[in-house]
Amino acid sequence: MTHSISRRGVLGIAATMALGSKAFAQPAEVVIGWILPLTGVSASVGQQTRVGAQIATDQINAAGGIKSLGGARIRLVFGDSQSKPDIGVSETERLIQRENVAAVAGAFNSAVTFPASEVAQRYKTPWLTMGAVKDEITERGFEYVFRLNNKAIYDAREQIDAMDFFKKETGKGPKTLAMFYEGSDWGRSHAANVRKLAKERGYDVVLDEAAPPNQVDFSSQLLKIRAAKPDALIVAFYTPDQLLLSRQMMEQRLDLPYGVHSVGGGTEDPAFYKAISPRAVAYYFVQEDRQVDALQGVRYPEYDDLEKKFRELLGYNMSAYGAQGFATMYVLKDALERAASSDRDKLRDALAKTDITSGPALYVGYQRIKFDEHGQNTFAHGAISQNLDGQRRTVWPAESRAKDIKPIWPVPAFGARS
Amino acid sequence: MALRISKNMGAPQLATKSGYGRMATLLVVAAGVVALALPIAMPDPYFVHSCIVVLLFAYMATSWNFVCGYVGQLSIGHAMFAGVGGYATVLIFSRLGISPWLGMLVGGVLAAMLSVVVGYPTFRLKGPYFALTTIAFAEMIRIWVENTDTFLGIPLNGAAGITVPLVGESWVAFQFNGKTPYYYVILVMLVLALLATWRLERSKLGFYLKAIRGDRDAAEALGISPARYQLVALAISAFMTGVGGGFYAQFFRYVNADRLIGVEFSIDLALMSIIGGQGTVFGPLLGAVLLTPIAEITRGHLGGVLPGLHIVIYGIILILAVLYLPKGLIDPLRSILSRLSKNGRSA
Repeated sequence: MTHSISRRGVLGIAATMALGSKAFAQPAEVVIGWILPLTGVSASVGQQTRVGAQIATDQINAAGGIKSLGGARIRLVFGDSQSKPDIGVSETERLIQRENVAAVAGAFNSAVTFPASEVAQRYKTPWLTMGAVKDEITERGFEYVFRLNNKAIYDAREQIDAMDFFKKETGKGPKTLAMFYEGSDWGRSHAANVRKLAKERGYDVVLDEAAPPNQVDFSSQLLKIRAAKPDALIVAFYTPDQLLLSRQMMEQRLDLPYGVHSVGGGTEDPAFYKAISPRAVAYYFVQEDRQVDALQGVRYPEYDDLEKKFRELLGYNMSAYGAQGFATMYVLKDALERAASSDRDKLRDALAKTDITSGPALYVGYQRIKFDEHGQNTFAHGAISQNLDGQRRTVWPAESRAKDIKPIWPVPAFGARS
Repeated sequence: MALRISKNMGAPQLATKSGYGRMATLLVVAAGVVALALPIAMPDPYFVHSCIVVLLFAYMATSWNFVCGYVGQLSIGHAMFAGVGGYATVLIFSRLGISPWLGMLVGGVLAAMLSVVVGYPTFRLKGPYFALTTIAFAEMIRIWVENTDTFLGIPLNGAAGITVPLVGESWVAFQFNGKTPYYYVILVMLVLALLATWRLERSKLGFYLKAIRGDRDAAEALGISPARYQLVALAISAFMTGVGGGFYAQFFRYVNADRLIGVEFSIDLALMSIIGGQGTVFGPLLGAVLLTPIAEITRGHLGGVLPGLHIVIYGIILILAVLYLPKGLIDPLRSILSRLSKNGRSA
């Protein structure tokens, strides 16, 4: 590799740092790249994912690394996308070309994941999608692109499925829906999916309203919702907007007989619950990326270590993003063990044959991980929680409910709450 | 005083053919040779990729400088022109099947048309009012695009952004598997933009603009219409920025309003010109060549280690540059050049 020598000559700073880190490295190691928004608007998501992935990596290395590779250790390298597509693309190029990663995972933002995973495909490097839900990511015929988590359409379907289920269970349910969501990619694509499904399932959408991000006042939109008199409200907002919305809904005592149904975002962020009064979010239904009360399935010893370290490092309890970072590393470990190689093509083939039914890779709350021919994990699903006595408790699917949990349906009006 | 490099300049006071001029010419020729040979000498894709990003920002900053540097007004809305160019290029290709080469030019023309609409009212404003108005216009367009799925039957796709349909290696479709063709395309674009700026410095328009920058009222008293000439320069600048937006779209194969029409993108262009030396031919190029790799290297080595540190370091470098080199990085370079040439003469 004469190239690498001449390159180092040019990039002086790069050379010293690259050589420095290589001198300490073990001979056998597998490098995994992560593209995450480590700074900028989605920084807290990126940090949570990074911490989750790092804890999993430390666990894997401490337990003897990749056994089929003679105990090779995993080393993570992170690229900061700053939530910008072009920077995500450049960082993906860097990880693949410079850091010689076996696979790349990321990148939470759909706008970054979409073009960055195309780079991975071009260099025949496996890309494990984390967090990004845009349907098209796994619909381009890219054989190197995989996704563990839900597609956007799954999220919408789960929300409607849950309503249908509660209706069947109790004989009561909403007829009319209002949708109120943030006006960027995520909120809009979610609303489009809900609109389509609501029509198929016979719900009447009486209000369909997008809001530009970072509002200072929702009063006029809340008046519109009040006037439309929906039975239930579907919302999709990031943390700052969700905070304002939840506060104002409580102040104005805007009652919805069948509750507020949020598709994650702010309502999945631990920071949100630190900042809001529990009264404001009582009885909220939240479509969660992972089962928050993790009741189903076996608990592995790795989980306690993860949850403890996560709390130590970030100061709050495990989040969906930390869980996804953690689980992604165990999926990669499984594929590396089977591939017995860090060769990108062999790793891709191993990933394509993934079929995990036990182990810490299922931490997010899935029962199984298996990719279809598009690389989508068809066993991905979320759970719907309801905020009961200040706790988010899983109420859907019914088999994931704890024994003492029953959804409050319909929800009491603000005036009737103690 | 701007950097003089030509051997046959019309104005007598410039035709000194000094050692300084020769040094500068030599430097430009050497830089040109290095730039031409770079992807051949170092074909590593990540390296070429990084060079393309540098050249793209150099080109965009040069386009920004074309009006803002010479008129002395701060535009923080140039991303709207890049956005128009980028969106037009992709849509014209994906909807009409017309080659992006033509699409980029159409995008540039549309950006120039938009600039006239924006510039007409805003160029009557000065200082912070001008800067604020340009932000407002760009943000209006960004928010509108982010919230519009289709406009007159054209799918803008709202905040999701639009992608370039892949057709494989094709010159007509401006799509290549390797990086090298993109490199030479953006290099040619940058050279053209530099030539345009160099021509501007020597043209009537350039002198008018500098007169307006020096004293707007005095210029007007001499019969120069500030609004008119600023508008002409803005339209040319917007055209160049729009074509650059088209290149961005083809290179990254994806455009979204949040980034390409975002205010951060506009600030980047302005910063590179100001740090490098606005109102000079090579200042913005110098700014981009120094700032983009600094951002890239600090991000690459510190981004995953101590999150946020790379942005802090980048910020400190910016502060130092503004404090100690208020005329831009090109200023010390010039004095070094002239000192060298003086030494050369005495030796």
